[in-house]
Amino acid sequence: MKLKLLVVDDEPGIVSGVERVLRNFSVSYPFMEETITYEIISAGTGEDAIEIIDNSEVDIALLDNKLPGIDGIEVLEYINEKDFDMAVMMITSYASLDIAVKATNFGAHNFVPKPFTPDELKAAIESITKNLYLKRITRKMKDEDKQTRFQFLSVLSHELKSPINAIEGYLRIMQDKQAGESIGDYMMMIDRSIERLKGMRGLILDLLDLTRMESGAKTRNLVPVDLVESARRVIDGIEPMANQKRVKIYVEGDDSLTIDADKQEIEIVFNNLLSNAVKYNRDNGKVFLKIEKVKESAVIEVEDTGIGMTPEEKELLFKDFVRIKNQKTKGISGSGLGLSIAKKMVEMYDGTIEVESRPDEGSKFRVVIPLDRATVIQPEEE
Amino acid sequence: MKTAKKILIVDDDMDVIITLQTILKSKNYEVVTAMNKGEALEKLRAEKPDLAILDVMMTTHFEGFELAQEMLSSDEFKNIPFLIQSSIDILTTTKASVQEMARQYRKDPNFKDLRVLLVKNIKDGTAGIDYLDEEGKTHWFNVRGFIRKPVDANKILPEIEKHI
Repeated sequence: MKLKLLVVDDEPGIVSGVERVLRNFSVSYPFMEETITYEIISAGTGEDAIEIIDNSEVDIALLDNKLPGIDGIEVLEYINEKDFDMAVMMITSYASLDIAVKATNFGAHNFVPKPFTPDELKAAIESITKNLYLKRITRKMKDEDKQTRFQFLSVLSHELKSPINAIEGYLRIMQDKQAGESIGDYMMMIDRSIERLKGMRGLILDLLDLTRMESGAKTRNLVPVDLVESARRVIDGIEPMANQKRVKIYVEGDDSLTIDADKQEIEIVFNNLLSNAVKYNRDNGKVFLKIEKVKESAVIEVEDTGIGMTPEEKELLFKDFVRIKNQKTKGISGSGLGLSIAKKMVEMYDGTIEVESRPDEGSKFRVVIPLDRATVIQPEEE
Repeated sequence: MKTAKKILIVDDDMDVIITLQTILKSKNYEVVTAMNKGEALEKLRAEKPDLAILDVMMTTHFEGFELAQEMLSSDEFKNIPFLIQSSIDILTTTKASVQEMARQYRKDPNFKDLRVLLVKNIKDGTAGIDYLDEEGKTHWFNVRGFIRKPVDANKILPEIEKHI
């Protein structure tokens, strides 16, 4: 990467000196892959400097204070006012506390008195480059974070609005009695409204899981969790749904297998995988849950005899709000967050989640969580 | 007794399907449904419906339009009338051919940002769709008619009766 460095000085000797020192100079840091070099341009007056700054993207300016026209400080003031994405270093032989304070107030990175040795210049350039680079990286990360958050929120509001719109639509049709006089004519709409309300409640519960996860360590409580016991507790909860579809759940597991984890988080993972295995199963289908220790990891497998997925559908599976839409999934409601939450949780424990699937035959989810991990990755705090 | 007319609803929104289905069944139509283009083609073949109602945006942006064009160019399906259901505004005209109107709208700077033009001649009932696909290619095809979303029985039923 080449940074554009503008030297503003009315003494040609300084400009050529800087050029000589920095021509073959490069900077690199252990935390970045690239090496930074400099393209040097110069201006003899503050007015020229402003014109160059306005017209080309300058990264760093070395600014003499004593100039023929306007002062270096005024150029700095201009840069500060217009909020250019650049770093400024003042150089001057007339160093006084007054100018130094002023320069710092206007955002100058540092202040180098003239005359300076090549090594002093290099050290100053190295420090200002690092500062500029970190500033840019942080801003980029913040922008990206804002972007993801914005996308998440706009999808979320769409997902919350859509059941409301649907139910409102149904109610209006009933209000106008568009499909007949008797309440029986509207049974499908009523059932569907209840289904959409259930879905909305599910979405809100999933959001609570997500908030809990993102709010971080404060509420996490790591204790040895017995995986089989945890799975059984979850199965008790989804039994009614399984009975309705006459889906049988088989559990095979190592009873003594425990991992250090937050009990509730492990249950969320089990709940998402097992309830999907029931929901997307056929009537009279089966779900096989296997929990075992393989090498130094806990392996959880959830296999169903359900509708399965195509490779294209599989690609989308773990993304936020993605739901696979086809004739086979049309009656099934879900928030589209379950698996993305499960994945995020498993990853917090250094684990992985994978899926194998065949359309109309079933899917098999496999979660692997290492048992000997030194630490649990804590979600970042705000 | 005459057999009930069969209507195929193609929409990826379950709630639109249920609403339409309830309304149509109350008028003794037989209803079959599909949620994407692939399922729709299967149902067209297997059920031989008397009419199809097509949503536009399903898995892909213009899936309903692609389905309509496939129907029009297939010997098997070209005689099955279809209606396009969407919430896009319909441009109306009384003169010229609808395709000519669409061409004129395309040249009009006020409409240059529109990806989709639905044009209907309110005098003779002819209608058509002009749209720019993802690659920027323009397509034109004739349709029997449009149905506006949200679903409203008082508008849908008369439109359907015109065609079957």
